[in-house]
Amino acid sequence: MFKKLSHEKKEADEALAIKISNLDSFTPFKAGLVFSAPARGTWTIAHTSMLIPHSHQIFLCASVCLRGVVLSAEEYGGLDRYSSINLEEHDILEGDLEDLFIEGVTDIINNLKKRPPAVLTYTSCVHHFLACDLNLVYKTLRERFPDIDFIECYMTPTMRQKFTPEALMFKSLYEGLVDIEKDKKSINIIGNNFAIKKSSDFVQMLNNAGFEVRDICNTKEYDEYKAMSLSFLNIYTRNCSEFAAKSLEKRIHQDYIFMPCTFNMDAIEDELASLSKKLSLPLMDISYLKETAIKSLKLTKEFLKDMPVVIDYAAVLRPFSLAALLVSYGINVIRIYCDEINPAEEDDIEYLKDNAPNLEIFPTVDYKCRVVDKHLADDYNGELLAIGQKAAYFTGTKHMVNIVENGGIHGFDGIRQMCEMMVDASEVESDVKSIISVKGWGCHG
Amino acid sequence: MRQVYRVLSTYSADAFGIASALYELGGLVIIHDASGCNSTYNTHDEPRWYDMDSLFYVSGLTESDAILGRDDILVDNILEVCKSEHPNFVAMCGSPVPMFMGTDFVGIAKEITALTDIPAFGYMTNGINTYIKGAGHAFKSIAQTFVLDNKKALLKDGIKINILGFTPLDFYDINHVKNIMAVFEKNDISIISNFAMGNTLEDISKAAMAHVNVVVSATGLLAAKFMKEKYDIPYVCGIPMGISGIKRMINKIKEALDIPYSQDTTEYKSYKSFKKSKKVLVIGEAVYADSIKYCLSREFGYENIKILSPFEENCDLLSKDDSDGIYEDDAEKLINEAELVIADPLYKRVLHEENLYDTDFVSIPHIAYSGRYYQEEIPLFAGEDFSNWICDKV
Repeated sequence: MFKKLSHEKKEADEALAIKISNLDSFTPFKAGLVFSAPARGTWTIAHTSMLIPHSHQIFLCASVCLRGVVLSAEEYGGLDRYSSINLEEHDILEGDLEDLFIEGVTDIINNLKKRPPAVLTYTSCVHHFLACDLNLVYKTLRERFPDIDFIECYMTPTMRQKFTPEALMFKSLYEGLVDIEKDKKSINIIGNNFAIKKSSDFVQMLNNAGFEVRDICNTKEYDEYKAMSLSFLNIYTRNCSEFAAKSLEKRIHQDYIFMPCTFNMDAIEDELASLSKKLSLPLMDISYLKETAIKSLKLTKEFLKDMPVVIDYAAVLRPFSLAALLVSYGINVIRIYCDEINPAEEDDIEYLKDNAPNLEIFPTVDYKCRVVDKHLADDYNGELLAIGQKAAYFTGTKHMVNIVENGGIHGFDGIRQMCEMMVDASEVESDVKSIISVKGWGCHG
Repeated sequence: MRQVYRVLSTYSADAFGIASALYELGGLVIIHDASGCNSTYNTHDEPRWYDMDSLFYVSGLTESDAILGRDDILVDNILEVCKSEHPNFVAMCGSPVPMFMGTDFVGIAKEITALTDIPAFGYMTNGINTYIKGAGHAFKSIAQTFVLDNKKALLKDGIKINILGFTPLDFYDINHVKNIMAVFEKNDISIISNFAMGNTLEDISKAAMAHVNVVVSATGLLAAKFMKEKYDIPYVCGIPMGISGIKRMINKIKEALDIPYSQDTTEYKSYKSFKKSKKVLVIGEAVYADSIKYCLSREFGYENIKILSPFEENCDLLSKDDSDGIYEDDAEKLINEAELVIADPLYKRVLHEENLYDTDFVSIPHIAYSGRYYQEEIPLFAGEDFSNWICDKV
């Protein structure tokens, strides 16, 4: 008798979960065959590169790899800024990757309706395994097209162990910036797909002090992007942007500071103090921001009562800090979905071990995630709140805070905004399937 | 320039064809590659991914595993899933990196079978060829492994067929499959099995009982050829599109069985008149494109219809005036020479400005090309109703 996959509730949940009280590793789940949940809101390299205004992207790879980026470009209406060069077997066997690269890119540029100011060319694993002479390629292209900034990008997921695709993408994203005299009143926020909101604590602080805050997510023209070269300081908020910040410091002498997207109030205060010190500014009065955040948390608890809350790592960059904060105000956080843990969250994890020992951690890419029960919300008559698309998918709830990659919220203001989103989502049911199936939610490339 | 795609998309690849063909059959399917590129399959090419569980995974290949040739990691991870999930079979396929690593998928498959007693298939794909090739080999493996040597059903009890070549890449969803099956059943032809949507391995195991295999896309051809050789089941190619297309397919089946049939001599009439000399271009998979061509020619009298099939396998359906080839330059030239184009909507992007208003363009989205983006606009392109649908459009 042949087997059909069962769609009935499985007991695999328990086998997958790790109680936080038993957590003893930052990589608690064994690597194996990889499942990919149909929650697509996070951005890909094909989305991120569109943040450079009026740029054109060219991918060079086999069709199996190109398919994702071309259809992502199609989905956000970006095919006018996208081209590809398909590798064939003879390119790999005969080693003529350089010629194909140079002549293919030349052909594409010469046939574009409008000359782009920048061309982002994506090499693939094949180019690097076969040691394609990229120095020759880019030297030739820059000589042929001196009016175009060629930005070297990578679609090399096989080579992700040293730098993730995201880290490489954010490094490449600012390669068009140049080393010019710096403006001491200009500061960049780098390494995000979503602009940090102007109401955020540190953005307010900078604006009040008369700084011009530049963010690639807010640029509309190529000149605005190039003007980011003026800034003397880069602020980055994600670990994966550290490589970009260090690269910019080395290449064009822009200093940097890390302002992580934590929900830990002490850490937020420390971040603001560090930024003040770095800029020799008096520390802003944060009492109002902090009181507002605390008030929002109390109201959220009153509103949610004991409604269970589930958080995923793709929604917020520091899920354990968010969980610890919510638990500290009595909110019933029962699960976190994440595959690896950022060691910077250790203090929050310790707090949760003491104060929410039954909180469970679930993976999202383990092979069992395919067949695991996805109807936890039914146990609560649908009244379960998911923060993030993966959390919504895996629990089957319709109450979803639709946020990816922190969504531009930060600091005490970010806590306030998160609370508002939680209350809203607890009241309204979403069409989860149609929302989360779309890639690059919020993409405005 | 060949291999350059300035504005067009790329077709779904061989590895995705394998995954799509085997999706509903209870197997464990693995693409040996990093996760990044290949999750593309379940995002864009697999409409069933959200609602229908299937054991499809990527191996999560890393640079160091590739360089060090750590096939043992792949094997161990597969064995773990086999132990826990007891799949009906294991299928592995590769992408560019395994190609130049020289990963021996066939050898690994033998090892898996030896260790688990589960049938295993290793496909030497490289992510460069199209889904037609991948799905074709997958369906052939299924036929080779799971079809039992049953006696053919008695013809006096009615004609029985298998339908080969169903994947969402060509037929989007189960409604299209049911629609085609209903056409045959309405004409007293019953279905033993189909390869492979809305069907089970148990159904497929009975496929040798059929009198004829109907190949509805080029993905079904290799399995059809195998069953012709092994079980002496003849095959015919085509989709019953429109009233004329239904008659044509019934006659093809009868002809394959040496059953007398009457030629379709119907004089088709339409509420519209057509410029019969109009230059028509149909772009798509060969069986589908040929079926549209027949309908247009037979029912509306078009005399100048060309096919552009972007694939390597065309089931011998192309005439000397037709073209095969996947390159943008070729498509651009042919599209701009035509007066009526029937193709996936993305092809409209190569229409020159001066032709935008003069060339009639009928969009029929193809999942294997534009993915899910236009999927809701895909018409039911089989059955009698297609005659009216296409008549309204051309």
